[in-house]
Amino acid sequence: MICIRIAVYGKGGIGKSTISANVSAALAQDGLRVMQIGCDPKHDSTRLLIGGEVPTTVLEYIKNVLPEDRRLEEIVFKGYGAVACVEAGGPEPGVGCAGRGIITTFELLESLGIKSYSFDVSIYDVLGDVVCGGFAVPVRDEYADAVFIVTSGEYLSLYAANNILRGIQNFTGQTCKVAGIIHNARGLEEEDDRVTRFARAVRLPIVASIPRSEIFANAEKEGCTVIERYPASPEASIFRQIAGHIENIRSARSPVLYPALPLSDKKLEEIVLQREARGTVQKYDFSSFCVREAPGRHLSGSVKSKRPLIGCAFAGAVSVTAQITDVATIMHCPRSCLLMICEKLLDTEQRSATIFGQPYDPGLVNRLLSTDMTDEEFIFGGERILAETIESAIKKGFTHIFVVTACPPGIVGDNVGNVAKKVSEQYPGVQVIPVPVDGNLTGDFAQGVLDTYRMVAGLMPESKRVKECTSVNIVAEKWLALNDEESIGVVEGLLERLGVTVNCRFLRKCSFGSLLDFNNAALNLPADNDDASEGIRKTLTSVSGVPFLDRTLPVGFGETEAWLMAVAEFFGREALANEIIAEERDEYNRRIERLRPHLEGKTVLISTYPRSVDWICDLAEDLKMSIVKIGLTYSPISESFASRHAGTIPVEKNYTVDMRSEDIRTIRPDLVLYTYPVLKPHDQARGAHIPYCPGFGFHAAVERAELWSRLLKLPATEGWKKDGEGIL
Amino acid sequence: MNLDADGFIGTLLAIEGISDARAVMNGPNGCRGNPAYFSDRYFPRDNSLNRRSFEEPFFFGQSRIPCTYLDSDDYIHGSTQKLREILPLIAEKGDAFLAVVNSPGASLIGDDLNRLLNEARLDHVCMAFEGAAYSRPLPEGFDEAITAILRWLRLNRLPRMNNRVNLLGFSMVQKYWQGNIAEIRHLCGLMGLTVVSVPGAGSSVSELRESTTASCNIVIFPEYSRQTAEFYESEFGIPAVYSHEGAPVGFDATEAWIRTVAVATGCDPTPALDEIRTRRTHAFHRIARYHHEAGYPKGATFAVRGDSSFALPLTMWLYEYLGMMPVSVDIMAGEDPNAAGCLQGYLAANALSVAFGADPAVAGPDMYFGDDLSGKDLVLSGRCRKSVDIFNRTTGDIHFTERAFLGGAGALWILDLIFDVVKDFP
Ligand code: SF4
Repeated sequence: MICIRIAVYGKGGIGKSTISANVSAALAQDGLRVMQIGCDPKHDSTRLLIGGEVPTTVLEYIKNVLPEDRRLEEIVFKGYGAVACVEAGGPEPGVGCAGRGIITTFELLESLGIKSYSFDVSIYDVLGDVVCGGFAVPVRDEYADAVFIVTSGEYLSLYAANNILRGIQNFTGQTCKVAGIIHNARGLEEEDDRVTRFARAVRLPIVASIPRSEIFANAEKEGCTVIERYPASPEASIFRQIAGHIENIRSARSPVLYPALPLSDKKLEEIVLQREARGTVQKYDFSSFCVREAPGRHLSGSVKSKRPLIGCAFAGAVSVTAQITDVATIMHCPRSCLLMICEKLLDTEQRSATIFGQPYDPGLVNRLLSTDMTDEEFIFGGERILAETIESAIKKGFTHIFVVTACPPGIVGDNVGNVAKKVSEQYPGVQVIPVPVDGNLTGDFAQGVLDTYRMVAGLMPESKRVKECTSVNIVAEKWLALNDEESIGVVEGLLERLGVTVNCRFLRKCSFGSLLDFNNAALNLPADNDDASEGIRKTLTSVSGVPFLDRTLPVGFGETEAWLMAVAEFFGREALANEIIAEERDEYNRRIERLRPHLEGKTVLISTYPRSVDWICDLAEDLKMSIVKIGLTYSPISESFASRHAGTIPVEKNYTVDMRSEDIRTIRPDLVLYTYPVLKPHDQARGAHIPYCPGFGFHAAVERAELWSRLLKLPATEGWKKDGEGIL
Repeated sequence: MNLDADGFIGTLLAIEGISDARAVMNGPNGCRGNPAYFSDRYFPRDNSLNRRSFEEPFFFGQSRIPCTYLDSDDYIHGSTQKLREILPLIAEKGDAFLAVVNSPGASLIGDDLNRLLNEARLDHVCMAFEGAAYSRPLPEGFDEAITAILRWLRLNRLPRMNNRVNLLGFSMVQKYWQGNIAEIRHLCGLMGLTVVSVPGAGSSVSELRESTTASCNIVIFPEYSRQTAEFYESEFGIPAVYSHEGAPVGFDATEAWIRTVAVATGCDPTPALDEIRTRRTHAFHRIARYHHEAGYPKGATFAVRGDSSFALPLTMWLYEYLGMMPVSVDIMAGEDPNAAGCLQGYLAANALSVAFGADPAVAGPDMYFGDDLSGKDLVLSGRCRKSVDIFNRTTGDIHFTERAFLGGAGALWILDLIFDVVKDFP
């Protein structure tokens, strides 16, 4: 005779555990080897089989016993009739992920070899209120062969029953897997009719109707099943009838399984409540409210348009908080998440120190901490380990701590705010600031950056008053390029010559105190004007009165001249600026004159993601080069593009790699400047990469032109590239 | 912050380490960049010049580990739709074996991956990892994945042949992994042994299928292969050979390893031992002609943080052969109890226990053997003179000539590294 696995689903409190235990007992009485697995976090499924006791649950066991010490016999208990009893258990209410707990229970049982013991019948008693992936595991082919649905005549119970059918349909399609409905009566009016109508509509048999009876409470009081305590009762014979039904399925004596055919919600109401639909629902009208504008959340391009998310908000958020040199960042995540961002952060720091001789920040490693969440925290919640990690940061001497959340704590619903509050209460003077980006649940990398800037801006004391002083804030610098620090040094040098100091670099290598002093500057200098930078600007303007300069940090002579003049005008130092410009112009002109004979008349094709390339256009103009086209490729980071040269140089949007290859073939430009991807070997063109950050200041652009002039004298395609032919 | 990659990455790299296999991540794009880049960098297969753009669905401009780019909607409604889209596309690539691995977040939503594979008629070529060793040691995740793959492949019990062996415990996370394998193959060859497969480190699926013809498994790094070795032993009766001295790092451990393998396989160790003797002589002539006022490398200090089976022979060798002083010896999680115990015992026997677990930043070693980020951190913050990477990282350097840390060639390369550094010590 084959083994059979039965899942018994029903709404919480509907009596499925009592039914499962009684059916197990009845089957055991028939001499079958039975196992019952309770898959309800309430962990009382097998209670009536083991004398009212609550056994050690699998999840408790996993928590307390090391993997190599785990034994099957420590989680499987002997119940009435030698029924093997297992309780999955679950996390504390309100924390962790009970569904994940079910998955883990099944995985553990399997790894401990449960499959090698062939029980005649295995019964899974499963909570059916939530049919998320975890609770649906028992329905899977490798587990249940048949499913019983327990319901009363109450609407919510039937609603849950219908939902379970939906879950089954999702998992099994048209396969026949449902054994039928077990009606556990509550003694309500018209209850039988409702259940019958529902069963008929979903085309399932009612395999048993169990009347409301005192006998259940009496047996329960004694911690046993009706089968054991009142074997001669009519109720006991109903369970024997269900057991018989299972034996029929097992021996496949008749076609006793059916497909899941759930009803739509509307149909369910019509059939169960016999109520007609009331027509369309009207939308709520908010216009009568008087609202106060809250600082808005700015969405990244990908989030706005629901495009695939590149990177995650977690990494974006960490990339921002890690910039604050005296604040700890706790990454509430499994270890793999932190690698995605911290390797890059550290590598950039180390390489910019090695290559550009920038001072190395040894504190970076020290101020980044992680909770290293494991499966255990996925199931039981990660609040305890988070609290411990916060304490370890406090012990290291940090008084300000950011907690950035990854996907798992977001999915299992860790209450980071609550943990932060408790720790802050325990350690007065310590401020724990949650950054609940929840991995990529809130969006992509850019969204994480935006949300974190917003969060930090919210910590600043609000001030719309502008200070009379000669200091500036530099806002929203990037940190991805190795030369960023060196480039910003050039900007600081120019400001210094103008007699202007930097108050705060918001947010790059700055202290927490300098952030709070943000409003002590007279002017904000935006580093960039891409979508994320624009979002940051809007956020800051909503909390601070410090005005923004209408120009981004400059690349090349033309931009730097205009930028310096604008800053000088703001501070009334035009004469000083003119002196600086005159000094630099001589040097610039010398360099241009040297390069022009090599580059004059050369044609250039630009392929770039939407990002300002005006510095290239300015430079090309000075060198008398001709730009034939600017092709704008797709970028998950930025969408908007503006250029002072847009009227004179053709700009083509949605530019693809193939379009670029075609242009190279037909236009034959002397030089192709590109961001990503690299030129194809078959393009046979001379190309140069457009750096993410070409540097700032008068001479940043012309330094690139020196490279172009060399490239034009070199072979279009290097020999090694030919060796890639044939490699797909 | 612990910067060691975890068992999730170990799982992905175990799959990617099979030459004609591909890992598919069921998860957000955010989880995938690092391992995808890593695999492509350290085990390159396609022509990266032919890469497509960011828009290419599921690949997004990276050739390895395509992903389903799950987002918040998928966490609620499940990843079925995206898996249905990705699977046929990936199947077209013609890999011999595919494995879908759930990201940490995806493991929480409980999608029935096997049913989907079945539905896409890919269950003959694709297996599912619904969970992985998240935050657990990388070697553990690697070992579990390789064992699961071998089980899934339903290897046939083939006639075992005397001179055939498998090498266990190699992975692309180890620096010079291909050079290490080449050196061990070479030593095996000298002993008359043929290497049938190196699971998870360059062997193809067909080589894995052939692995059951081996007479024994030579376990180089037990941290990465204890379960795998047990699997071969229990399912196919293929015994595992472990060297008590750990991996063959340095001349002494290599000789011990050769003798152990010879005893286990019944082959003649002489040619391999002769080669090591030649290499020793070669090293002797150079070291004997080297002069440093302070007598370095003798007396120079070193720190090591690595897998226990690597840290043990390296520490012993540098101490005994060069007279270098271990000031910080740390073993990574997932250690081999034998190697870890030997290492502790060894340090204690030489009154060096204080070095065990000592913080290298405090100990301030002359040389640090470990991962590159931690090593560079020590160097740049002035707490160490030179760091030597013993692991690969996405941020690591590339090399053109085949180098190794293991065997005779590896010993000479370690000497190269050390003497190149100590010559500049005051
Ligand atoms: S699990 Fe979430 S937070 Fe972690 S790396 Fe993946 S996308 Fe980012």
